[in-house]
Amino acid sequence: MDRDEILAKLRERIVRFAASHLAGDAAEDLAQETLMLLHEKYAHLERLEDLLPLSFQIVRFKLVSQRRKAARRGEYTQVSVTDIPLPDLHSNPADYLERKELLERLALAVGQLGERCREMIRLKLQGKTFAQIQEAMGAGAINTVYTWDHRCRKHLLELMGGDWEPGKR
Amino acid sequence: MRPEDIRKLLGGYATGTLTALERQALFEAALDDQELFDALAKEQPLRDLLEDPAARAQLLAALDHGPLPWSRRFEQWLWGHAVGLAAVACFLTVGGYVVWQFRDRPKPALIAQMERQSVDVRESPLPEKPPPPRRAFNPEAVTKKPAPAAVAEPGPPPAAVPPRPSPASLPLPHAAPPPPPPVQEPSQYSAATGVGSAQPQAIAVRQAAPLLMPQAAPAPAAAQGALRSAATGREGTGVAGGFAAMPMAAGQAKGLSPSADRNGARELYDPALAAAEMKAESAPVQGGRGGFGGGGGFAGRRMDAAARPAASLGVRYQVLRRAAAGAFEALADAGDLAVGDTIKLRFIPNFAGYLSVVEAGAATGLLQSRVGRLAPVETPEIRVDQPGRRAIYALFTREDQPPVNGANADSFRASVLQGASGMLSQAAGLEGVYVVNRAPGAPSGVPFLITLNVR
Repeated sequence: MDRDEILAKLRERIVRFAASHLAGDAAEDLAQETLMLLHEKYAHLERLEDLLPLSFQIVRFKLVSQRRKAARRGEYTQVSVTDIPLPDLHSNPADYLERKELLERLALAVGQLGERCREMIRLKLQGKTFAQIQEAMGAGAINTVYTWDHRCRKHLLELMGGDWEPGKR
Repeated sequence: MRPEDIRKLLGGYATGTLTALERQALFEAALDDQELFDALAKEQPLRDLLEDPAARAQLLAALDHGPLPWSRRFEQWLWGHAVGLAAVACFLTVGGYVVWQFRDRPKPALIAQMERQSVDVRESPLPEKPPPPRRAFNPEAVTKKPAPAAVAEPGPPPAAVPPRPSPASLPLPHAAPPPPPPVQEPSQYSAATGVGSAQPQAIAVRQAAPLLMPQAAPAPAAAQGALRSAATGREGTGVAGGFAAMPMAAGQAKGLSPSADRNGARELYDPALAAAEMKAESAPVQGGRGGFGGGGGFAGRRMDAAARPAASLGVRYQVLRRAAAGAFEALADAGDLAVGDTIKLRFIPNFAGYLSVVEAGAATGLLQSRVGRLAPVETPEIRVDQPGRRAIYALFTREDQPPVNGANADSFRASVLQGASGMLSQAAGLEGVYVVNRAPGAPSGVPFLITLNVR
C-alpha cells in the first residue's frame, strides 16, 4: 500500500471519527488539516506503522485544542476551521495536568485489578511482547494471552469509567 | 490472524507490546474497520502517557504495592473526609449538650401573685374638695312669721277639698323590708353628722345633728382617736382608715398602716369619703375626745359611709389560718400556706347581696348565702392536705343566685373565670384583697378567683 492510498483511507477514517466528536463541516476540516500536516511536515513518513499513530496523535491534539477553546469562549457550537490552531506537539501545562490526572486514575484502577491482570500489565509495562508474556505467565497459546489481555483491558477501562479521558468523548 | 483476534491486539498498542507483524496487522485492519480505527484513536491518550518512562515507573510502583487493605482504605477515607466528620462531631456534641440541658431543667411553675401595694397618701394627696358648708342652727336667727290674715274680700267659694284621712286609718304600705342595717354602736349614731342617706337611721341622725351638736369636735381628732382605739387591741369595730365599720380582730388592727389600707379600700367605698378622711388625718389632733363615743365627727362619717350607697360593687376577702392557740388569724399573703393548715375565707361585701363560693373540682359550694352590707361572712373550715395551687371561685351579686350543685358547678366556674377577666380592679391591702367591679351597675356582679399556694 503506497502513501497516497494510505492517506486516502486515513482521510476517510478520520472524517468519520471526527464526525462523532464534532458537528457539521468541522469533521471534514479536521481531517483536511491533519492530512495537510502529514503531507507538509511529515512528508518523509511513508509506512502505515508511522503514519497511523501520527495521525491519531494529530487528531487528538486538534480535538483537545478545540474543546479547550470552546470552553474558554463558552462556545459549544461549530467552530471555524480558521480558528483551530495547528497542534503544538510539545507538552504544555494543560497537557501536563491531564497526563498527571490520567496517571493517578490509572494507578488507582490497576490497584483494583486481579492478580493475573496486574501481572499482565506489569509485564507489558516492562516492555515484554505477547510472546514473552506467554512464556512468563506459562500460557499454553499466544491467543490465550491475547484473550487475557483483552479482558484485562476491558476491566481496566470499566474501572476508568469507560474511557481513558473521562468527559472528553 | 482472524479479525476477532486482531481486535485483541488493541491492548498492546498503547503499551508498545506489539511486534511489527502484530502492529502491521492491527493498522491494516483499522484502515478497513471504522470501529477498530475509533478504538485505536481512543487508545492514543494512554499511548502518549505510557511513552513517558516516568509514568511507566509510577504505574509499576502502583502495581507492586497491590490493593490496599480495608483498614488502609478506611484510613484514607477518614483523612479525606476529616473536615466533614469534625463538623458533624461538633454539631452532635453541641446539640446533645443543649438537649441534655433542656431535658433536665425543670419547667418553671407559673404562679400569679398579687403584689401588695402601699401608697403613701400624704405624698400624693387626692384633689381636695371643699367640704360642704356646715349648717349651724342659730335660734336667734329664727323669726316667727305672723299668721296670714283672714281674707277680707269675699271671693268665690273654694273648691271642696276632701278631708285627708287620719294616719291611723290608712292601710299599711306593702313595701319590701329594708335590708338589715349595718352593725353600729349606738354611740356612733348619737354623734353622727352625716348627710344624704336613705337609711331611716341616717335620716334621724341627720335631722338631729344640728340640734344636738352644732359645733362638734373637729373630725381629725375623732379619726385619730378611732385609730388609736383600734391599735390598742380592743375587740370591736376597728375602723382602719375610717372608711367603714368593718369588724375585725384586734390582732389585725395592730400595726396597720391606715394609708395603705385606705388605698385598697378607696375603690371599694365612697371616694369622696376617702378624700375627706385623708384630709382629716393630715390635720393636727385637737381636743382628743376621740374614740368611739367622743369625737362625733368621725363617728358621724362612719355612719354616713354605712348609709351611703357604695360607688362600685365590691368585696373584700381575707384568708384566715388557725393559729397554734386555736384562733384564726388573718394572713397577709395567701401564698403563705403549708400542708396541715386549717383555713377559712372571710368575705365582706360593700353592698347587700348574695355570695357563692365554690372550690375547683367540687360539686357543691363552700358557701352560698345572703350577705348584708359590710357584714362579714366566713366559709367553713378548709383543711389543706396537699401542696400545690387551690383555686376557689367566688361570685357576689345583688340578685339571688341559683344554688350550685353538681349539674351547674362547671358552668359556674366557667362564668366566674370569664367574668374575672373583665372590668375588675383588685388591690391587696393589709386587711385582705379588695375586688371591685368598675362596670356601671355591675350587672354581672363581682366574679373573682382566689388562688391559694400551698407549700
